[in-house]
Amino acid sequence: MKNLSFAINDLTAAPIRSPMEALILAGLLFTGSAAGVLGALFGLGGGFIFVPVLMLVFGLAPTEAVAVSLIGIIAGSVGASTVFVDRGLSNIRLGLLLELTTAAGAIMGAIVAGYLEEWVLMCIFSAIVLYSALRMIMNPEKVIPPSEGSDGRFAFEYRDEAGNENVKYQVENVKGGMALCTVAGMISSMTGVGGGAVKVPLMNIYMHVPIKAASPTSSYMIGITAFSGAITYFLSGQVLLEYAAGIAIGAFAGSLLGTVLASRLHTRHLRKYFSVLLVVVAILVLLQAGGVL
Amino acid sequence: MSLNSSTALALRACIAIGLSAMIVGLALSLLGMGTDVLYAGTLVLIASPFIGVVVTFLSLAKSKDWFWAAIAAILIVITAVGACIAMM
Repeated sequence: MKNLSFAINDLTAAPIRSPMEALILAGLLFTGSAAGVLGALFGLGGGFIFVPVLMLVFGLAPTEAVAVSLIGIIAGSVGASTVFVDRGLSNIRLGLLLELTTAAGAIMGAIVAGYLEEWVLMCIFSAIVLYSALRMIMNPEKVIPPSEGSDGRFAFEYRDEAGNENVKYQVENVKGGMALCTVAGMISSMTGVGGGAVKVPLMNIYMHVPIKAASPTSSYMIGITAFSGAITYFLSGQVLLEYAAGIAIGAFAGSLLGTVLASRLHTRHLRKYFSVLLVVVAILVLLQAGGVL
Repeated sequence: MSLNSSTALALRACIAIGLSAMIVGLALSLLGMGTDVLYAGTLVLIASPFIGVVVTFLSLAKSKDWFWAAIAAILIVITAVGACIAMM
């Protein structure tokens, strides 16, 4: 299918006719769905799934895989956000604030990327993610309710359907969180991985945002982060449109399923599963750093 | 309309248009056509998060929530600058 696909500046459309190509399309839809479910459940973009699968299974070049991956990340993020934002689970205001420094960090990362070894950054990223996983496994969630004298701009509330309660929370360490998001944005843009895997633990452990709000907020932010990269690849003609469509349709469907599952999971289970997923992400990134993937 | 409702509506509209075009484009590709439809659908999908932030900004400005409207405005500028730098 790859040689029949086309970039935007190749206007001779390529047909998907053979059974093998239909099978590839089914594989793309499945890959997108799987990443979409995980993305909506845990606030991850899914790049750690998309890129290796597109390269190893579908035979795409690294640049092509990253370009298609970014489209899938946006589809999953926007799909989940249509539900999470509407229900008030995604904290739009906090997301905008943290996205400010994440985006600034991403720009800085793109500028200095040429001066640093990528494998070193990937190892640092894995260490941070593993540390976050351990913290989430060992420490219970600490939610601080708003009190008199606390900054009202950072007091929020959401409806926990699984617990059947309204949860009020005060976001702590806002300046520190913004600074750390700059670092997260830098590492993310230099390595191509890491948005949600860093931001969710950061919000949950350091800023005391309940994971039921942190994951949807991260889902919302990830699409904004992916926008700059995606538009660049798109306008330079590096997006394989058929692959992108297959992945995006799957990611959207998966993200809707993920929002249903997320509303049914209890906080304790969500944190536990998220910690396990972080360990898997760290191992995958280490394998990439070592050139195995 | 609340901040969350207006933002969710914008995202929903964008992804509905974008994905519909992608599905039609993919179906047309069976007939050897549809590149331009796929192209348009992908572009709308990519622009969705950015359009979402713009709608969020307008909603915040309309409700005179100036602190958060300023944050949204700065983010729009940073994102646009980031996209321009990446394209250079």
